[in-house]
Amino acid sequence: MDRRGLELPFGAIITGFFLLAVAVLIYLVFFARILDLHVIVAEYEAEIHAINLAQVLLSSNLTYSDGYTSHRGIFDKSKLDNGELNKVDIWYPDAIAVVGIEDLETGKQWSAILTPKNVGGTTASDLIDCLLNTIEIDITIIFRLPRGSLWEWPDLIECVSGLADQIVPYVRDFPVAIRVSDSEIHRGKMTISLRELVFSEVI
Amino acid sequence: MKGDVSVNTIGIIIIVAATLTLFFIILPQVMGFLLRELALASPTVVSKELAGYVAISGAAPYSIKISYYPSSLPYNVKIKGRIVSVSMSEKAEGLLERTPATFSIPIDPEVSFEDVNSFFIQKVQDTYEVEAEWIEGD
Repeated sequence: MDRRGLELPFGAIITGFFLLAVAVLIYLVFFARILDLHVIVAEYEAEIHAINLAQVLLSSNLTYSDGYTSHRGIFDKSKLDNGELNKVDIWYPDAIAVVGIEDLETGKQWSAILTPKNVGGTTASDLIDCLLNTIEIDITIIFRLPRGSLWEWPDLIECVSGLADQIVPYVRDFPVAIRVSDSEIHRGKMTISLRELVFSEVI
Repeated sequence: MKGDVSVNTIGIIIIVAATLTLFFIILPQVMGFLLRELALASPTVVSKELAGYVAISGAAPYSIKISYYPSSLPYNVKIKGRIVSVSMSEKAEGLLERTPATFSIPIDPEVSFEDVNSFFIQKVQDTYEVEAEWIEGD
């Protein structure tokens, strides 16, 4: 019989195409670098930063220590009175946090602004200069203003705006105890009012 | 002849059915699994998780040890200026996220590692240590 060329059944052609497609797919997925994968995590970074900041503060040097270990969540009134809240070395390089601690039984308040420090980028430095030198603000207004509205204070918002591409707010209270003496512990609350600074370039 | 079905026709029907099953049922599941694994091993996720572990180690009143093994892939990690920066090592092959990722932390350990995939975070009193090494994958 005279047969010129190659005769393939339709099924074999389909099978061939199928195997070729599988081979190309395997190559693209496992071996090729022509595809670029980007992972996007949907989360509220300001909330995570505020909670982490609070958790670290709750175990910081501000807490009562019996000489052996620190008592987490129990602030030592004498340390707060000595201004140690302003000395804590706990801050985020891309966030400004106002921390307020209030004794709910006596009404006494302590507060501090935790700003980025020693950051190489000029953006953060400008921000710190503005916050520390330009504005004069009584930080205890955190307790007198409606929740979160501290950041609407004209001077402060002027300092912050224009330096970051986006500013994400977050305010949250955390229950704490305040040790006054060996026999006296008061109920209190710690307020973290945080502004997450989102820069287009990494600072 | 009416009603006759050739062997070829049956073969084509089986191949088409198998192809449809593969492309519309099995392949999406496999791709979903692969993409989930790739996402969890990406520098974006690793930087956030590592930063979270380092940050939360500061919440331990006295001491804590945390071990973190994100994947069997090698990473380059740098913690400086309270920024955790993670990138995929050049040695890692395959479809991976190559863009470096960063996430900030409120405390200041400063370390740098190359080609590692296991992390050990330790805090004793006020001292933070972050170590890393390469552990052969599964």
